[in-house]
Amino acid sequence: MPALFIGGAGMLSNADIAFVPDQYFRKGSVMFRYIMRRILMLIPVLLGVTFIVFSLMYITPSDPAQMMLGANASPAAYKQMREDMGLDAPFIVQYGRFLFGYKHPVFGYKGLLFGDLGRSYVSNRIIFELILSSFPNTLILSVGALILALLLGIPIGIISATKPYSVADMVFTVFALLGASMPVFWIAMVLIYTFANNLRIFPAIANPRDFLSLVLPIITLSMNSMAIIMRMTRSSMLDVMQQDYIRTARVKGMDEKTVVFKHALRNALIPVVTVAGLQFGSLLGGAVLTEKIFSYPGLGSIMVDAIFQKDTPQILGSVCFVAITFTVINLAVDILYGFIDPRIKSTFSTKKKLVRGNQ
Amino acid sequence: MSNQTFLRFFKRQSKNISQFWRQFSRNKLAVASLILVLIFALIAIFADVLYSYDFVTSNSLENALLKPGETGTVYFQEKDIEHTFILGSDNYGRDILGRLVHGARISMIIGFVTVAMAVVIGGILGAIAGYKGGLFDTIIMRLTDIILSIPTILMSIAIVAALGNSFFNLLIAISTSLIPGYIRIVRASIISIKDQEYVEAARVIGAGDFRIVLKHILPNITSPIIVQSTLNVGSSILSASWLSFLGLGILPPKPEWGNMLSEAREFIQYAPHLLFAPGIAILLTVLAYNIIGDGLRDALDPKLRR
Repeated sequence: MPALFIGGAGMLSNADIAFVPDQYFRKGSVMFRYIMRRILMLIPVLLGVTFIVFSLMYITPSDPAQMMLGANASPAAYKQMREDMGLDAPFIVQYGRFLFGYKHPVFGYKGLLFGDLGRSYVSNRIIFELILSSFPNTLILSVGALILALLLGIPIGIISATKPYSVADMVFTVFALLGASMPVFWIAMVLIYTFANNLRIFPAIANPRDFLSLVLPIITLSMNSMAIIMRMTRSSMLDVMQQDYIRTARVKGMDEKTVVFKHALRNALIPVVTVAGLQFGSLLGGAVLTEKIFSYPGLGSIMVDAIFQKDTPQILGSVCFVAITFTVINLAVDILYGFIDPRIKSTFSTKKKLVRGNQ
Repeated sequence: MSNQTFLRFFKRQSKNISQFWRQFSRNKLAVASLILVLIFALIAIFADVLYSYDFVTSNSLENALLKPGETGTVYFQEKDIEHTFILGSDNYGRDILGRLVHGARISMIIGFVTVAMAVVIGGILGAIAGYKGGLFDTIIMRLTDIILSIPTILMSIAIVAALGNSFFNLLIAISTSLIPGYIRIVRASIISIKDQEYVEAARVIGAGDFRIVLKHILPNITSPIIVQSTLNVGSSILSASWLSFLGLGILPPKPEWGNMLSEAREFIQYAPHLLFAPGIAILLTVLAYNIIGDGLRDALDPKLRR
């Protein structure tokens, strides 16, 4: 193992980070094997996700054939329609078709693996076209919220940690608790009431082309993540500030600013990065509510509308899409985590020894 | 168990409890939150005494959108009653405070039942995974991974959408998303405990699996479970409220905080009081459970004791 792994607590320089991928992307290296294993492990999880979502939609009491035909269809036409739509096949066959495609001149599709689930039988639009056209809008909202949460959460966390139990810390703590306990839809309504209704600064209906209209939904969405990032930064900073190398730095006569920003912050931010990554995933999910309230044309609105219209293929497509994106992002965060923190990476190689050592 | 040992056991327990209380009561905020939660619980229990359920669910359109403190005449149970709407009335002329009170009951039930379901199911699955290991462990943990990789909100929405809109399905939807947390806690604790000497000693004496889990392992995992469940009561009340808000949980005219907000949405301009009462009720409840959870964690975790 090169010395940089033992280099330890505070001494993570940019040169080290730049050095890591070069060495660890070589075939057969520890990191490469780890990443490959994680990607392989992703496959059963994703299959499981699609299976669960598919089963849930399968037991939904809605009847697509009836929906296509209307209420006055003859039993023969109904039977024919069920056959055409492939609804008479057993569950497992239907699931197979959902993944690998279904051949039929009208109702055929290439399957989830090829990103094609045919057309919705409620709106008659191509399902994945709708998903892919609205996903960037959801992405704008989630990325905006994450950036806002980081921009406010990290500095506030640092202030709280450098002066623990001070008045400022108390205020921020209460704020973080409020942020974590507030119902998202209620924040949205209060914001709409004050800023759209009374002050008339921001519009109540958001749309991705108008920056001003994005302000309220982004604030709404970021509230929870901001609270979590703030708390995480604070506790991780407090943790790091108690370590010996910080004391050493202080003893050497360094001023507090250098100690906090150059020595403590780098280490303290490692867990924050993970949390931020995980937050990004949950922001994608949380966008559902925010979009609905601000009538924003994102994936969440489409999903909720699909549920009320009992548009099963659309629900299936969107839920699977978000779940897969969520899983892939979480994996990416996990892998990134290994790159940022050399200590984590060294545990991959000596995993067995470490487990034994802990007991 | 002889009388003597029982007495000793009881003494030790009461000492533990008083020590725990000394730790917990240092956190004034947590004590205040506990009192708030108890008040809410009392309100929920005696909801029928404060306001009759029929009264808070029946319309009286002539009293619609009254401001807080205004009085109106309500035709209820075949006679006119003079009634003061302490927190005003909604668009159907229903008393908001009364609906909040009955909503507290529904929220409380949802919070406790979902967490209880999750603790029992998650606890059993986690115990099997941790104690048996092998194939059981792999299957259960893969399932947990799968459930965790669907965002909570989507999972609950999908379950309610699939099973249909009812109170019981709402409970299932919410507790499903809580279960993985308990599986992980119980499994991790059991794996760390099951190979320790005292468990081995118990096995040597001839204790069965069930007895070992119940007597030697369970006491060790109660504190993380208590903390987790307290925090989860808050979050499941929150989940219920936004599912109801989306129209997927408890539907009006049943009084629920989330659906009260959903109904208020169209009347924000004329009646802001519709917006604040249920929102603050949700906020205070969830906040209180979060603070109590944090307080419990500090009081129960010996590592944090100073």
